[in-house]
Amino acid sequence: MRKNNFAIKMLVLALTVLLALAGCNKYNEETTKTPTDGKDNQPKQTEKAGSGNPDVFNYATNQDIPHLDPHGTSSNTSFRVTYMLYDRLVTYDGTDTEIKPQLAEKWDLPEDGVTYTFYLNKNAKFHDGTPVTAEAVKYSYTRALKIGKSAAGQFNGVIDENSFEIIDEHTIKIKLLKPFSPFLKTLGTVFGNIVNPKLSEHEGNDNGEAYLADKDMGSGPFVLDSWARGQKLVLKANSDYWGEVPKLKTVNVQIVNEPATARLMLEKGELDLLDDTMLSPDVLKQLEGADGIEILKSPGYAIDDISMNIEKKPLDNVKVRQAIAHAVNYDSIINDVLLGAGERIGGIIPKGMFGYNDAVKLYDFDLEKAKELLKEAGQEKGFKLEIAISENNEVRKNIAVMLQSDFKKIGIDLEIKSLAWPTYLDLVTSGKHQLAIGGWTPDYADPDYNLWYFAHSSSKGPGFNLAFYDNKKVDQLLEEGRQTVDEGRREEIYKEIQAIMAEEVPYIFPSQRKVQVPVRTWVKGFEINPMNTWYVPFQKITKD
Amino acid sequence: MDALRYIIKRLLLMFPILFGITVLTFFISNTIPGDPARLAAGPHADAKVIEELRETMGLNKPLYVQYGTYMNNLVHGDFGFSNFSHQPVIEDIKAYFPATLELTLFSMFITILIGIPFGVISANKKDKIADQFTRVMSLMGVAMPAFWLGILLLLFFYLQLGILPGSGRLDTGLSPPVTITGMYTLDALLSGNWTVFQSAIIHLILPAITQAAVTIGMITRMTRSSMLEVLKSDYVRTAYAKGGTDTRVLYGHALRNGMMPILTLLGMTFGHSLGGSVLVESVFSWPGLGKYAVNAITYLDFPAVMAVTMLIAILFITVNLIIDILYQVIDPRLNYD
Repeated sequence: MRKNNFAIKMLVLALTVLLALAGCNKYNEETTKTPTDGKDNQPKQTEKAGSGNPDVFNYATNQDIPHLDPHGTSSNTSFRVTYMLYDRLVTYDGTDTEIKPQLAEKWDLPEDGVTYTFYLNKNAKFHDGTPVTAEAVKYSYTRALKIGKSAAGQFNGVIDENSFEIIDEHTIKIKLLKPFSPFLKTLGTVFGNIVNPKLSEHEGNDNGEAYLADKDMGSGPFVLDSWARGQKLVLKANSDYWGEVPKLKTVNVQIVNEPATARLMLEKGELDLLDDTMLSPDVLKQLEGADGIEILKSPGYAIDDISMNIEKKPLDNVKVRQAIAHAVNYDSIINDVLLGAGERIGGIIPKGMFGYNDAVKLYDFDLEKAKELLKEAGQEKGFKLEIAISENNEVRKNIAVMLQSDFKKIGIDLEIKSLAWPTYLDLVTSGKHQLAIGGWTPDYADPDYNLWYFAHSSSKGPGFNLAFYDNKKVDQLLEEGRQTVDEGRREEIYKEIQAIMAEEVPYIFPSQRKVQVPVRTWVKGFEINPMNTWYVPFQKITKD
Repeated sequence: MDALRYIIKRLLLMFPILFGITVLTFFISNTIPGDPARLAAGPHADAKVIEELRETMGLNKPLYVQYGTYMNNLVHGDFGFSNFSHQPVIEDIKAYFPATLELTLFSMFITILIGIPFGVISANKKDKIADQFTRVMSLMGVAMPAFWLGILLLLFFYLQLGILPGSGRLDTGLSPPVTITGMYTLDALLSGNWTVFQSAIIHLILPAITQAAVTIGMITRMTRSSMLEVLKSDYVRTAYAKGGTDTRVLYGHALRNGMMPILTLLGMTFGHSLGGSVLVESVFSWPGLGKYAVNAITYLDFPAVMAVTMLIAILFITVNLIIDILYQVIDPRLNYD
């Protein structure tokens, strides 16, 4: 029996000693971490943690990073990292939504409408020291097509494996299957990342997807240092970068699951910047004016939308849709739900983007008018409707609740269906929904991108035309827009489509969001790109 | 020999149980509306790509055929491929599981260290101040939501006092120790890396306490009621009469006899902590299996869901087997049948 007693005493003693030894740290702003004795001074451990160190940047997101294959991923958290590891022929810089040269120094626009010639920068090198060649460009785009996932969505029908002609090591001709005016813009997105063709040695039977999932075979300003899944991904500056070498030496992309915890860490100064989607509008409001923290505000191209499935009765009647558009309290959504971080908009082209039509019909919040329209449609007795939203989105839930109370006043009984993401996606893409709230941000700033997905009849359902909108005139205009080189004509086309859609209201657009990002005041050089809001230009950021 | 036969029998019994679990998990998760190929392909993929992916993922075959294929691979040691992380599920499990196991072991350690003595004291001082105190404490532990308690602890120890870290498994500047078991504390000890060990222990404190709060409450209450029963026995009176000290009688004689229900509950709570730590993992950004499982379900990543469920089931069964064996060690009068 003595032994039993002894064991308990030893356990207590051991725990006390552990806690005492461990408890010496102070988790404060000034925290620096250096080895306590000379024995384990591995180089990585001499680095100062937290925010005292201008060389180390701590970024946090609450979304796990699935994998790092630039051609297979559709996740913003992966984009943010692959955009740093890889370069593209052209790129987007700062707040600019127009392309800039990157791997391609210059290019010839097509004379025949379809053949582009790119001249690559001869200094560009992959992280293993091999030069970035025309072969690499061909390899990367072909691979994206073969994999067939997200990246291929940009290239399908535009190029195929026979589109490439290698002129010399640093010159490549790409011949499109048919004219596609936004082509150059697509090359600047994450899907246009150029991968080292040495990947072909590791392709296996899955185009190297499994191999590249946790590796870096790019030529970008940062290299992948380490990745503890679900925890922390570490980027190190590429000191041999062929372009401008980043000032930050280390970037820690940390997964902090709980926004409340991340907020505390930001307040403590242990984090420098949070993912823009992490904190809700009211928490951001609370943080405003906090010591050492700034809420950067910037226009964004993200748009909230309510799609009305026109294949479902009574939504097939345009008068009913117009009535619903009059029953949405836009001001209240912007002021009370988004707390001012949004703007009224009339169509799917965001304000500030090429092709935006500022003259489209806007529907006021006018319940009398709505009732009148319902009467004209023969629906004055009222009816039931369902609105689908995906779970865990505070803002959309609040919008739905607001709609529910306003719709009641015009006799529409709105039922809110809050669904898990896969269930939501299945419901809306198969067209079994009536109303659905969603959000949209373009991958590149061309009106074709937004409108093709939302309005072309070939995009119904899985293509994200969730209103199942079908208008021959609009289809025809969209097809013309893709093949038109003249920017003036294109602008006309897209403005006309917006005007038609504003009349027929397959969608309601409650707001265009402002991007709000909580950041420590010592962070300099961070500019928010309105279209790629996930994009953090770590290569340009400094801390002081 | 008896013991060995018993263990083998129990291990063999594991197979039908596991088989049942695979059937249930497989067919239930497939009833979730949604298309795994659509989610794997990403939002911009066109219909042709999705159809091809559905073909390669085997989703066009009837469900029972898919199940057959899955089981066939499983028997050959292949847990399948995760469409979320683009790597074999087994690699994911290796990355996420040790964190959960470490946290659970540490919180069980705290539970045993605090819960059992508290229960013994409470029973011994029935209706006295000490008893009232432990009863209120254990009630609070059981009643407080882990999520709320976690945030509260963070506010106090991290934001106010600044003596404990807020998230993760290690300080930002440190890199993980060489992987041996995947549990940082153990690996750091084995590789003699004191700095990492310190950091790993410190990072465990708050999540482990949060996780242990509930189990401490349960164990304390169970120990108390079990001890109250035992303390009435004749042999306890005899032990005191023979001049045994409080500690010796309580922990040596009484607790040993009252240990059965406590052990059973410990086994149950261990399994519960393994599978149900997602809230704690979320508050403290603990990169464990809970969060991984939630992601897997959100992406309809069925091989991952299956693997997590089976892993937890196997551990649950194993722990309970160990507990059953411990019964015999504690009370040799029991026989294995």
